[in-house]
Amino acid sequence: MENQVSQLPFSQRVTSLPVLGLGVSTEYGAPAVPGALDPRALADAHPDFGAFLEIGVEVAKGLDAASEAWLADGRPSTYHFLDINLDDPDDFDPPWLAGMKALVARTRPAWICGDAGLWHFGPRDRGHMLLLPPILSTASADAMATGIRTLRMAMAREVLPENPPGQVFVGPLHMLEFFARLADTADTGILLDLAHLAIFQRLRGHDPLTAFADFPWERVVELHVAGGKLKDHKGLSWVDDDHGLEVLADTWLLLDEVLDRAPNLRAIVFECERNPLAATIDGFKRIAAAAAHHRLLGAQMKGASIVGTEVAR
Amino acid sequence: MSTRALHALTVRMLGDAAFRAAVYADPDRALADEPISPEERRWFVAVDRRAWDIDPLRNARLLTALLDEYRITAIALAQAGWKLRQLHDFFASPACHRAITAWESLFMALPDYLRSKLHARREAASLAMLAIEEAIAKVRRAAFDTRPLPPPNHLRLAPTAAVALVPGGALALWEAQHQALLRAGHAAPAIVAHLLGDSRRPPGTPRLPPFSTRGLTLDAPEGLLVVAPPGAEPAIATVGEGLVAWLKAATDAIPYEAFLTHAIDAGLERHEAIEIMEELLGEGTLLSGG
Repeated sequence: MENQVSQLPFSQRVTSLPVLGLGVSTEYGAPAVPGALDPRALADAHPDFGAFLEIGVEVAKGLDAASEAWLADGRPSTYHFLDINLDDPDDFDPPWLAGMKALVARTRPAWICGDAGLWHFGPRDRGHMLLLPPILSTASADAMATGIRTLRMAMAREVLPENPPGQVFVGPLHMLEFFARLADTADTGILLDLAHLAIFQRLRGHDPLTAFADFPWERVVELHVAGGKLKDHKGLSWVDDDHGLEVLADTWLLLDEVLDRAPNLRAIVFECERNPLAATIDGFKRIAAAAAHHRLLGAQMKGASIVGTEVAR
Repeated sequence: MSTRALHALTVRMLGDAAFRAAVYADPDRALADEPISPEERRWFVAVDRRAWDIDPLRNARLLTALLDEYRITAIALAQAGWKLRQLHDFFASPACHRAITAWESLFMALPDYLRSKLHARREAASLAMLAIEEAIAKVRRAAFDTRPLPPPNHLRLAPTAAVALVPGGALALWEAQHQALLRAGHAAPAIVAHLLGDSRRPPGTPRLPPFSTRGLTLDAPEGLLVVAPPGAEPAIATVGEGLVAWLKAATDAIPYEAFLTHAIDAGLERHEAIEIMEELLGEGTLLSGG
């Protein structure tokens, strides 16, 4: 499953990345919350919906029991960092790099991914974690690209930046313009979070498909789909990225549009980890049905969408 | 342009409504001293103003997290009649803005802010608890001190060491409350929040011993040396006032001779000062540039 990072261009490196299919995400302690989804129970009952686990990791915390159990089963995973400001060279301190290296060695992920934004202000200290969007400028994209290259070489794994959620977006670029430049400069693939993109488009007053025309869709390796709640603040309509079960219509539209455009797409995560398993199945089914025609994902999705809870091959 | 400068401004505007208002009113004036271009100033005011305070509980959550490390200071403040809501202006304080701009931990900015608000004699107990917990917070964060070693023939107080001068009896008072909070376990933060008027007292949680300041003697201070052995909780020892003053002189790199002169001026013989200095170097309390 490992993709040994080399001097090859991304267009060639991507061909050796595995097709993971449809999976679910987790963070430290999430499965232990009453009523929350158990990834192994999902994978056992619905193998095509729990084909892999995206593990959210802070180096300081490490892996929880649920993630350890998943890995002990030999099941596929991806590593989603929660604690590196990619645009800040000082954030790549030796102890943190060593810690992440050890965790990557334990998880053996298909790739590394994570929000390309501000995970923490100041040092990695308690209470300083906040996740803000990146500064949407060319200089910021270039600084972040350097960080991606650094991390990719250090970890010998692809590092896919993800567009973060937010309400405050500072800078002149559209999020997709920023990521296009970032991906090109870093020569990397992308994790496109469709819920976060829908949030951005709505907040900036754009149509959901604004800036689609010039985006490098061949770099999209992974998608996220998640629920969100529409809220109002002093007349400003905004979306709470709550990972609930109500996926916005804009997000579903984006899923259909991106599936038609992204030839190298290899994985989709339904971020529903906070919800009871039974309540998530309809969401998984809808994603599987949408992806059934994709040239890479389709073979894995077809079985799940047709049969539903009974997976036949 | 530095993305860090732009991120820092974003964080400051999220936390400080008055600063935010000043930026929107006149970005060139409000951001004149910031290392960003006029074009970058416009980026901030291009954001819908309402987006900045969508999360009204952000400051309260962060303040609670900060006070969780200054628990006994919080207890002392509560005893003196302070409420949590009175501390929310921390995010508008120069100490907070300075820390964010310098990309430093807010746990080390909180003491400066509290000292600016507390009266030296009336709130001596709160200030004493603050001094102890500030020293502990500093040594816990030794890894954040990325300064290079001192230059040759200089030395400096190690990041794993801190000193404080507090009223006599302050350490005993702190210890009693600290032990009680340890026994309270996971309920400790909720107890402290309740005392500051922020929430109900958790049912079934133990009461803390009385926070009595009667035993404090302002005119007979005691010196404290806090050190953080690798992988262990910080340890606190009582030391002489003279040693506290002496080590404080080495907060920044100081030449050996100047360091020794402090001790000699305080009454030590030169050979005694050298012996103590070498002992402190050997223990790792002082760092040497060789």
